[in-house]
Amino acid sequence: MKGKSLLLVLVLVFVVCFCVEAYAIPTFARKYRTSCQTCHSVFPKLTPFGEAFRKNGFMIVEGDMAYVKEEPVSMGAEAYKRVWPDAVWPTTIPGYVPLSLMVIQRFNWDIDDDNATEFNFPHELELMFAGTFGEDFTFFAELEAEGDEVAAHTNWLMWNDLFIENLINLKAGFFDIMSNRPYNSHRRLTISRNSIENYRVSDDGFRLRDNQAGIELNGFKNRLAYAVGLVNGTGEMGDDNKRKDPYYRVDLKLFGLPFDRSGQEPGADLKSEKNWQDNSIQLGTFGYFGEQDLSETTVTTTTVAGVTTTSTSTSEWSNDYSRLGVDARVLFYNLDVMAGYLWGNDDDPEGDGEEIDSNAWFVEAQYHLFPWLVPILRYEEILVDGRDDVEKVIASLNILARANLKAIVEGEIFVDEDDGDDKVTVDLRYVF
Amino acid sequence: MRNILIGLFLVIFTGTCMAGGIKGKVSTAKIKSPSGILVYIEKIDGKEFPPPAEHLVMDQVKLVFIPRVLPVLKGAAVDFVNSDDVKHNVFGVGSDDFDLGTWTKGIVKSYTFNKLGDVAILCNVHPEMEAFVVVLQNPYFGLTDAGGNYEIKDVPPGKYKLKTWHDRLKPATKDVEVAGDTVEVGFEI
Repeated sequence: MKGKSLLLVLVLVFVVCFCVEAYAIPTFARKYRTSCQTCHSVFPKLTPFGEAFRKNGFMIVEGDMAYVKEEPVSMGAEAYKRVWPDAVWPTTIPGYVPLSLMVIQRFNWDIDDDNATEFNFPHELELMFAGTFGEDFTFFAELEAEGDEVAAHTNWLMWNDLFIENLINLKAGFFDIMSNRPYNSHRRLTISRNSIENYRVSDDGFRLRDNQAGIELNGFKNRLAYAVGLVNGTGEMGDDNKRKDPYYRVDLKLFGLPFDRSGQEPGADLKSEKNWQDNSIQLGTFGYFGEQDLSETTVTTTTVAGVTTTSTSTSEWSNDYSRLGVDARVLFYNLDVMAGYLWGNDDDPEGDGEEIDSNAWFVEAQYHLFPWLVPILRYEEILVDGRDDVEKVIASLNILARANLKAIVEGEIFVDEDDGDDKVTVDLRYVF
Repeated sequence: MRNILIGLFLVIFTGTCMAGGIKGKVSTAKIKSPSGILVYIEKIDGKEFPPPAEHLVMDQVKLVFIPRVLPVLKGAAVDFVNSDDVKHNVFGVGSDDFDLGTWTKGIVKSYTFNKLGDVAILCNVHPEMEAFVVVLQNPYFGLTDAGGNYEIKDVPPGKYKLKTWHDRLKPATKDVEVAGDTVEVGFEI
């Protein structure tokens, strides 16, 4: 409790002094003395330049050094590489405190719950630490405070360009798996997450959106990108079984800018207007193969001859599951259409020996009416064996008041009213 | 006697009057400033170039080597000066390895560079300090200014390979022919 209070105090101190945002990271705006909109159209959505920057370990793909305005602190001259192994390999650390903060203020209006409303101010504070150690290592960590909980949601270190430039990067820590998916929760424009990111079959079971502890190899070359990893599989820092869960993801981009921007003049895609445009098609496929140890405690109370006896029994079982998915993104001038399909199989998610298949899919369209105004429409469905199908329509509007400040107005409507409460949510988000 | 005079005239004429120059601009987007890029003629065959009798100087001021890049002719001696109030060390790694030790302000130590190639100059007291001595076969070289411009003067006529050097950039090479005028050669690296 003491530790938690200390963390909260730290967060509050940072709120006053600095700030960072979950996956829109003003730290880099400071480092390069550039606008958020170099990398984001409407934050946290990335422009093609920003996407290449992210994939390259938060470094500008060609000639990062030339763009850095905040001089890093040398931890040994570059020429010390010639002295290794008789000296420590040189590196740099950021010349500034690499912090950013995102604040989310939220207003909820639950239409189906007697029009209940709530000011949820603040809904969330996200403190981010991100930067590079020279060009070899990238680090990212995030502390998130929501309600009275403070948690480290992300914390990873990536060794860039192992043996082959761009093609082999090794990430270790607690991170977003398969982060190349274009509808990634951390870069979404809507308040709600889409069906394939968010659905789970068993209690505390796998969700695509959950960060995981483990290791990942990832890389990109021309129009191909990949990620393969091994993680604990619980969505928590700890592991509930001895097995590690493997996963993979492969992306192919047709037309538009290649992932590594090969064939481009340096800075050619640093467009001053409509920098979100990159007429292209991106196709992806992924798989995740997990095992989850589950348990259920049953409390039985019996009364015999006026004597009440309570007994508890705990049953434990293991659920082997797999998820396979495909997705696509089409960028066509101001229109950005994404769709994803996820198939799941759980061999025993409820401890009754019954196998359950599940399917989830969504299609979402975003349109840049203006650089500061992006309406979004999404339809999604979740189908799980033996349960009611859940279908939803999400209509959202992102209004970018400033490069680092925006409002989102979003309505969430269930096709079948028994599946959930229709609601309207308004967010005010700002990062610095 | 007349022939000797004519011969002398021709030597002087071809050696100096006919000498040309090379100038141009080096452009790069990979480093912040295009200054300090060395442009040099890789080799001039059949000629020996005596090193300068005077020592060149590399100073250490406020924990920085000055200059950062020092091109020298093979056989040239460099005086390493410590102008700081703190101790400095100087050691070299590269085409030539040496360690001059550690000394205080006011002391000067010299080293003669007899091996072609680049030598990183480091200080083991202050690991962030670095400089480079680039040892060349001939005296035809120039360093770029803040705009990336360089000029090499008094180049004897001939065909050469013109190269660039920078510690963080890949070298570039271009063929160049010098007659009597100044030739423009640009690089994009």
